[in-house]
Amino acid sequence: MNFEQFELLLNCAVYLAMAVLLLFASRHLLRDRPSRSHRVFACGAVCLTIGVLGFSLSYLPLVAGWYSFAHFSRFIFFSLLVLSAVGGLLTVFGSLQLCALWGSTGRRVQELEELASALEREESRASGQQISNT
Amino acid sequence: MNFLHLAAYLIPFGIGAGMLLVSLLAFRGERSLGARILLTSAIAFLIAVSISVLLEVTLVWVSNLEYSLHFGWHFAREFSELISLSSMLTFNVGIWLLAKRMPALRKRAEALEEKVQRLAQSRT
Repeated sequence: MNFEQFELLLNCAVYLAMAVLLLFASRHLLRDRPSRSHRVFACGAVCLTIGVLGFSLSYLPLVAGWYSFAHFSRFIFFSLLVLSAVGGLLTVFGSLQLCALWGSTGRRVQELEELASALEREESRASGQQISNT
Repeated sequence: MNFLHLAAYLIPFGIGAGMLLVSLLAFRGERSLGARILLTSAIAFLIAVSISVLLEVTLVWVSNLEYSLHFGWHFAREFSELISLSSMLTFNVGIWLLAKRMPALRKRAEALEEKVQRLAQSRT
């Protein structure tokens, strides 16, 4: 195995790891509350995983030197590349939605925490006043 | 430098800008480990891509590098590619962490809403 083949295999392994991470992320989201954006994210992650796995496998005959399979692997290579590109775009859209949701929920939590603490302070002040009156 | 060369230089910057936008959106909310990882990896990706493009441009301008410089150029290019690849991987780790923590954050928001409603009712 030369350096270019090693680099190719490393790239495939890293892209596959990314796709699997996104697949696990979509699983977490769908388990909690399945919404449209989460479904799009999951669909993209599945497409990306199939595509990346496919084109990693289609490289194997070239790396291993089975040149009789090379033509076939080139034939399916481009279709898998298109599939993984579509999957990548869908996961980008899904992760944009996820991060926007994370940001808005986080801000809402901060606002609600401030409101709850203000209400609690007011309530404790009112109850203290009531005790002093009685 | 033709249109294809320009597109090949600009696409990674577009990806990096998208990563930065996503991480800034996440950073608006709770600054958790996932959001910090997203921002760090987006910045690392942009730096690595800038170095890689700068190296390509130097090769266009300086056509015949000396052997020692040539080796250094290749090493720097491979290193910047490795950094960009690993930063993309860590970016996905950040997305996974956010997705993992998202249900807990949503439940916390719901619990706080109930608490605020209860406090408001007891006030009236």
